[in-house]
Amino acid sequence: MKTIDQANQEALRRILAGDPVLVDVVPATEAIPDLADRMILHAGPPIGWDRMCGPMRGAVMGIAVFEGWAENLDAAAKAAAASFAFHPNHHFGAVGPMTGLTTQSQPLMVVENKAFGNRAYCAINEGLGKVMRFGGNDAEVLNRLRWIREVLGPALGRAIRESGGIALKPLIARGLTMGDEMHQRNVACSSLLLRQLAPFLARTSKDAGELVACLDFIGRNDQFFLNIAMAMGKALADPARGIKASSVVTAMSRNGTDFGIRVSGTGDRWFTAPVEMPVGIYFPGFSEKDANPDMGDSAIVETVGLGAFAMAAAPAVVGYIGAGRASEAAVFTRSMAEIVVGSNPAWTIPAMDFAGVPTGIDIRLVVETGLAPTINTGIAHREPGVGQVGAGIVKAPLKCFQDALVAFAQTMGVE
Amino acid sequence: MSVILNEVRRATYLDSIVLMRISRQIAALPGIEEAGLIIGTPANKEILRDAGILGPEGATAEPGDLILALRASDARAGQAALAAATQLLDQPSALGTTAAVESSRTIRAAVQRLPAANLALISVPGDFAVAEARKAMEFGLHVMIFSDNVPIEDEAALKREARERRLFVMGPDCGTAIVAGGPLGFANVVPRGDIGIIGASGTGIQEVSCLIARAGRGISHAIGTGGRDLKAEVGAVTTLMAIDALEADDRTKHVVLISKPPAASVARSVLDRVAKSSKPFTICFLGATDFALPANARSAATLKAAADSVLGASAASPVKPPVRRLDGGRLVRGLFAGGTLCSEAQIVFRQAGLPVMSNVPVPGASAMAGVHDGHVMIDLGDDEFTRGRPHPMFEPGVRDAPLAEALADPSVGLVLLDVVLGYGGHLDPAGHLAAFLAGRERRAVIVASVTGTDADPQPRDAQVRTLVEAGVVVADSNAGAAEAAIAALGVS
Amino acid sequence: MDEKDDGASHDLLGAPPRVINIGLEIFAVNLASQGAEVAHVRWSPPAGGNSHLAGLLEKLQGR
Repeated sequence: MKTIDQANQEALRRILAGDPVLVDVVPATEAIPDLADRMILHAGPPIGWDRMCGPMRGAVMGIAVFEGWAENLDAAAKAAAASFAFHPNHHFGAVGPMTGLTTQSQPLMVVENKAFGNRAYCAINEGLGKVMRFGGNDAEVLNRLRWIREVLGPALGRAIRESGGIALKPLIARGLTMGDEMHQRNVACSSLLLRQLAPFLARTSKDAGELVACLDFIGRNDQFFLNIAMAMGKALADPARGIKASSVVTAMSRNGTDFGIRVSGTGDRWFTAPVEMPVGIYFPGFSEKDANPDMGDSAIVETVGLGAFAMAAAPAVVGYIGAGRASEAAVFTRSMAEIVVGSNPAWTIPAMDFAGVPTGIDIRLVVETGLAPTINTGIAHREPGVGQVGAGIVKAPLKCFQDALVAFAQTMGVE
Repeated sequence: MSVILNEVRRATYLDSIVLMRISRQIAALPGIEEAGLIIGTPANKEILRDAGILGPEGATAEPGDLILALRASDARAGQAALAAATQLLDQPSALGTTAAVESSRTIRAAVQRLPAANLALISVPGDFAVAEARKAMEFGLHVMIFSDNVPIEDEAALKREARERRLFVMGPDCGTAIVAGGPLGFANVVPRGDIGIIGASGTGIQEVSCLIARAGRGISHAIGTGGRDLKAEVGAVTTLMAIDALEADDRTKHVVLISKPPAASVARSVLDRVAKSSKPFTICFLGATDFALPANARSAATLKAAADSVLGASAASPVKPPVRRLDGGRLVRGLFAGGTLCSEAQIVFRQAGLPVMSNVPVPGASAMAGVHDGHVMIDLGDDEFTRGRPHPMFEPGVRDAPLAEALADPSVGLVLLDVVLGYGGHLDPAGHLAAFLAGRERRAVIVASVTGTDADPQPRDAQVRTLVEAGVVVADSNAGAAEAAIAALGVS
Repeated sequence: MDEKDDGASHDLLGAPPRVINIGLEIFAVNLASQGAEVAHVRWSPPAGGNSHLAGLLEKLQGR
């Protein structure tokens, strides 16, 4: 077999061999000891305050107030420009949806890949509507974050530890058969998770009122599982990093300004291009005029074969994203199958005769066919503080893959 | 004051047949003087420039882009036409086919869907055909390359690689093949039988297989080799493999080999291989009969003679269609869609001792000069006519202008035409011709042959009827049509 | 000229062809209408016609 094909098979093997387990919820500084004061991890490839989009800035201002680094939002903006350190989540084993901010006092969910021993982290999903991941930063948003930090995070941590860990691979396999694709739709997996955790939450609870609040918060949030799926995606993809001669994508991510990818054979280098606008449907009263360009680390789920790659499992999502008939869901999955190394036999789609989800994006195939990976996504308002205004799909910019191909070719001695 | 309008659609590729069809529809709109929808390769941009419709915007197009270019009598007509083109482009299903066949974007994905696949039929622009063939061969697929404009050294290298892998490369420029009853490319519906054909020419295979079918016999396989397989550079790689394959094929009892006259060294190696075969061969090196043949081979100068040879003498006495002696113009003008049919007509004329000119002259014929002052046989499928335009087998309208010219020329007493039927071709070429001729003043006699069978998608019997009703004399073969023309001249 | 005889080619003639059609869709439609097994490839120039990238892809294919 040829070197590149062999290396790509190894990358695929590592992704497929992963055994991700939700093991804990811990304070961010415990998960990421390097996470310092006035240091903010964000979604996407590296970016400074000067180039950040509106929602990202809104979230930064809010989190600074939340962390006590600024009295108010105005002061936070000045401080952010002057003295905050910004780094991608991906550089610290973490991921975050939309703005995806990670700071020292947030609780982080921990997914351990038992097959390889690596861990990945993601904050707890805040729910829908006006939330920090869409740039929301008012008192309601910050109070919710405080409650997550002080009540929900510790309670979840206790329950998960008590449960001995929640194996995610079989959970997702069931979710796929129940209409989830783990990006736009997490209804089934959120419910399955809650069903599994509820007894442990009850057993470890010290306060019935708090227990009710926790169960109610998780139960009302159809997207609760998204952040767990993301940490899982990161935990699965990381072992495939740095394989010499592999042209498989190990991360796709956006910061609202740039889209970035990383490729196994080119190590931790980011290949970036201006991020594109999502296409989709809008909540009443909003339109594409209000939309912010695409954002978030959540495309890590597409990187491991879920999201738009598993669209055929989730026909309900097709209507959601304004793409037309439910029967077209399979078109997305078939099309993504043309740009990957293989498929995942553990995650199958009933409506496609139990074909495995397409897995292991090969930049060579993307560049050759011009078929850019499709990503299911939420749409944030372009102004800070407003929140989510719609949902849709977005294409990864081809330029990332083209630039990556040139650099990859150089590593192979091809110019 | 006419205006030139260009629009570029980035990253859009459509196959050339679809684009040419839309081009013709747009060109027919009111106020449109010239229109072209074409992929933005340098060669294509040159075509638009020559046609005087390449604007600054079109000039920026890349090979992955689609250019819509037109010249209109005024801006409003031009804009309306661009809008119409956009509408046609945006409804691919209206072009009829998308739903019929499931498709993918890569050979790899197609093979995943059809794991039993054993052959790739490649009809992409010539610049890309060899690369696609190599990809197909990686999957263990035999290859038929319909595309032309492939450099001969690439053809030679590809065929050698294929031979290493024990795979066939039929082509490039292979229009026709019939494998185990399956017609590929331009091919007719012929019964299966015991006659194998190896052909360097698509229309040559079509004419011979149809003559055999109409005589009640059948074809085991017809293997296309591409027009240059017997050139010294290529060395008959495919022809030799085909001889071996037909030798090993129990169904095949007789083999017909059709090619232009080959290089002497290549002829020798081919005939040596023929000599080793246990089966009788008919060798049709069009126009050339001065080869030393092995005992199991006979030679035939024309396609008709090749068919007769394999069928036996009984079929060799055709009924010559009655053509009146020419009383006005004394010259014959042949307008052919099939290149080999054009060659065959020239050979028939040369055999009768008549001088003949052509844009693709056979040995003994002369190259066409500017003035048509003799018998002329024109291959309308040659590059000079098809650059940026559809091939006349797809689009019989390509013949309209030269036909009108011939009919208006008082020196032309007889027009020779070929009508080629079968899969891949136009759905009603006779109907097109009849509509063109309806009500048109003409002095010249029109004699046509119809290559096809009654089982074709355009049944031959109905096509012949249409032509006869339009006052066209229909011969039973292409050579027969040329012979009828000669008879009308009063020469033989 | 190379006279080497490699023996029989992989069986082409034994059964009706199962075709991957790359390019003109009409050929795939014709094959399907005759009941032949065919899968169509909606071909477009590799790398959107960018010859530099297409060249890299071709070289990488051999690695």
